[in-house]
Amino acid sequence: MKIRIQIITLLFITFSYLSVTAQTSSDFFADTTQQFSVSLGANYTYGSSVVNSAFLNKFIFGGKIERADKDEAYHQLSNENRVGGDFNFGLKVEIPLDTFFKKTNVSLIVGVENNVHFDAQFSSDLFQFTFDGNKQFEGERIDIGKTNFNYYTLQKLNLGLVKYNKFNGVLAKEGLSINLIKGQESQFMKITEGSIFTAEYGKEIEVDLNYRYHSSDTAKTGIAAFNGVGVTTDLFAEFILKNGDKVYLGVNDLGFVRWNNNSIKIAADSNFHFEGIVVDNVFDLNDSLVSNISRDSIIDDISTENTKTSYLMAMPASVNINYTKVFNEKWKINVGFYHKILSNYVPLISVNGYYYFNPKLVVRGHVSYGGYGKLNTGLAFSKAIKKHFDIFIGTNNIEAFIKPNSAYSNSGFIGLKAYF
Amino acid sequence: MTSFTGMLFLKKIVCISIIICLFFSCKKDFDRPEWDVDLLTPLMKTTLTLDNILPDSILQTQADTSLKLVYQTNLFDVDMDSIIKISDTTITEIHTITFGSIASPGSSFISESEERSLSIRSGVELHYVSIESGFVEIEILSEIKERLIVTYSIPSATKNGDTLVLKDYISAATNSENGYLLKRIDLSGYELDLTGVLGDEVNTFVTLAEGTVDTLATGPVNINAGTTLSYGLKFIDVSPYFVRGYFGNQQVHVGPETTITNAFNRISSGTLDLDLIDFDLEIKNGIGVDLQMTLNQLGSSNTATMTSNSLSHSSIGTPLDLTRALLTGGVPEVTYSSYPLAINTSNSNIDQLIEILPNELSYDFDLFINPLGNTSGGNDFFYKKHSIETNLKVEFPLSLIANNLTLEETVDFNFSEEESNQDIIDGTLFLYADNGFPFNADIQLILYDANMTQIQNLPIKNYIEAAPVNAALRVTAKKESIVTVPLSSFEIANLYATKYMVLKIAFTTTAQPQFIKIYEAYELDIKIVGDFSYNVNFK
Repeated sequence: MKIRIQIITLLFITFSYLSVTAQTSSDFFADTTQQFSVSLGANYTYGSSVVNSAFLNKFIFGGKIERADKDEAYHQLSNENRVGGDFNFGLKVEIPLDTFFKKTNVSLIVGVENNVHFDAQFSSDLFQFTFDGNKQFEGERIDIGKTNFNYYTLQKLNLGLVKYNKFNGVLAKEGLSINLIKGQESQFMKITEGSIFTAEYGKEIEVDLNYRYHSSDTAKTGIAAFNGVGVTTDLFAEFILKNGDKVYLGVNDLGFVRWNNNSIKIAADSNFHFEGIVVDNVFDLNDSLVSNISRDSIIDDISTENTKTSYLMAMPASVNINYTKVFNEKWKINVGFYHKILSNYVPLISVNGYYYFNPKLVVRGHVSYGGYGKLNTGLAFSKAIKKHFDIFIGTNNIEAFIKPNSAYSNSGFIGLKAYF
Repeated sequence: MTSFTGMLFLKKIVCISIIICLFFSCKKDFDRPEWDVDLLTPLMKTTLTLDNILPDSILQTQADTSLKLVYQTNLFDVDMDSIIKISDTTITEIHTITFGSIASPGSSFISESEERSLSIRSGVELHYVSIESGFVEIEILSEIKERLIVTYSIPSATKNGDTLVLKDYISAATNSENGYLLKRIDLSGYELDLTGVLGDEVNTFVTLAEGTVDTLATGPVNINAGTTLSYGLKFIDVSPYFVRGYFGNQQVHVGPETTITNAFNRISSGTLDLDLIDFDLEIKNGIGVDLQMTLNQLGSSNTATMTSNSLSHSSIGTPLDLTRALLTGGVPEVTYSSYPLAINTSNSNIDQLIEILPNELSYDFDLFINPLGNTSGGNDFFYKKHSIETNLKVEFPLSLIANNLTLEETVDFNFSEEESNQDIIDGTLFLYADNGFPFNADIQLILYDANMTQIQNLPIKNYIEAAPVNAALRVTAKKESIVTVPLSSFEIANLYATKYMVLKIAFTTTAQPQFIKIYEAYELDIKIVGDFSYNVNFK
């Protein structure tokens, strides 16, 4: 019985890997009919304008960040340094409504998905301070302002409608989805202005800080934590041009999450001066030198506001526009623009070239620039298996696997769509 | 879709889903990132003054702003028990019926008064005792085969005018067992008149025992001749608050005994040469008796260095007459008599007693109580809180010569913390000192484990240099010094194992062999900066 429950649980989790991902099977095999289908998949992407994939892999998956890694990153520092990433998985079911309401060109979309997102912007000084310490800045004041960090994990329940239209015999879709959000975890910090001064010989440290930090309820973590509620909307439409080319317009995640009253807010706009722990009598010295420097006491020292209060987080909505031209049965090209607001994202321009070995096997080459990283080159494969399955797997950063020291992003996606 | 195709379809979905699930579930097994940083940070800031070095002393500033140390302590007290001791006293009264009789319910068949003596030190004749604490236990045994009402009173003991009385029932005796009653009465606050029935006795109190047949007895009871009613009286832990009488012509020897002094307890080694020392010993008598005290020995010892010295002064071995204290009739209750002894470097070797930096003072003396006999007519008195005190006052200007005078302190040390995410790889501790004292200071840091087994004496480069002085031997400016403590990975590993750290600072005065004065404004500013390589990790 226990094993059966575990299997059921595993299956549930597995099917819960809903995907409203950047890649769908229709990118590879255009829908020709409205059909009952189940899609599941997952994708990840992370990148930085500063650190290469090898560095990021160590930072995320563990490993020693060596001197050479840091020196390489320092060469990439600029006035706007960013890092960010997403990890999503989910399941989506499309149910043609003719089954229920005799609507011949409308489908109901129901799905669930899990989203993990982080992004940050940071100053060059702060990056060097973090990864090499303050000794290099002896006698100098460093700028840590214009820094922000945003992280969240949440789960969505998607409810939407897709309408199928035909133009010149080509199927085009338009749709709307309302996503109800269960907020699991969030952290947000913004340092509007800040500096750290390390005096000569390290005799004193001065921190000037104007910052704000929010965190969801730290007492409740994990997938069961329900620390916030929210709603977002996805909208998209496809247009078929007279020459048969297709234009796609889409907006995703337009909405917000309200994190509950147990959330923490810490803020300050102050100057802090530290010359060491003041010991009244060196002959009464005890272990306070080390143990009294607790995390709480430091937070108290560098905050002028430390309260529990709710906060509203605008979701980083994305805009996706692309143009697809089909040359013949073998070749297709797609040019796109993608941008994610409120997330330190740089607009991404992409070109995808598709080659169909046969009607059921396609390979896609990808070139893009922007996002959290820089230049991306990718490769993906998709296979239609009989009439029931489309499966696809790929990456938009094949360079990250071949030469991670020269890549600034990493990504991967996998998906399966089953037709009934 | 056929059912077979459907099953196949579902199986494929399940297989692919499991693969995806397993792929992403690996996320929890990821290692954590780590990297090294070089940190330069102030760790500690302190200012060392003489208050820190001599915490239990009283530093006084003299007219020229130089400092003088005044250390006062009570060398010894003579408590009441040394002169007057009321021992635990047990008294048994057996009242025997001489002639047989028949007693009706409610009729008294025994009523006898007795005079009894308290056990008091030989030669001491007390008239009056006010009791601070203590108990009396009264135990009664009855052979009478009827329930009795027994009353036992001590008319000499009163509290707020009421006599101490025990009145209770005692059960009827049987053929095999006597009637039995045991009661304990708190004597706190009672006054004892020890002059007996006629008021002409000493150490004597009066008791009254009565026996009455229970008024509820069913009928007359036959009391045979020879039947007994026994009263046991026991005074326990009686501690007087005040006594009066004649305390006898007794000799009391005290010592040799030692008392701990912590004036120099932070100084572990080195030598100190003091210019001048005044040592005032004041013997105060708060007891209403004439005394003659003979100081047989007064000395000091340093148990760490195994050195000791005895005082050589004209008062040693010479009887000192202390006149009796007087009652004031108010508060405080007595006026002490006093005998001051002025001991200094010119009339004694007192400097030798102090310069060994003693942690123990020893003494031995004889007390002769009432050397002239009963001159008070039996009106000697002793309040427990007003005894014989010996107050010591050591006073010396801080004009000294110090050689490696070492202050030592053991501090708890715990370098490893559960919450810490950082591991020190190696580095250097920099101690920046601005020294305003006219002495050099050598620092030692010794690491010990939890069993106080030495791990390592940390290598320390340089020392804190003395501030420069002018012709008048006064500091003209602070002297900057940098002391470094290089910490290799070996020392860092030892620091993580350390549970106690012993800090030693050895001072040596400048301009030797001249005595150098310490002034109020002198201080030593210390700032410790850490220059460390850290391994930042998220383990």
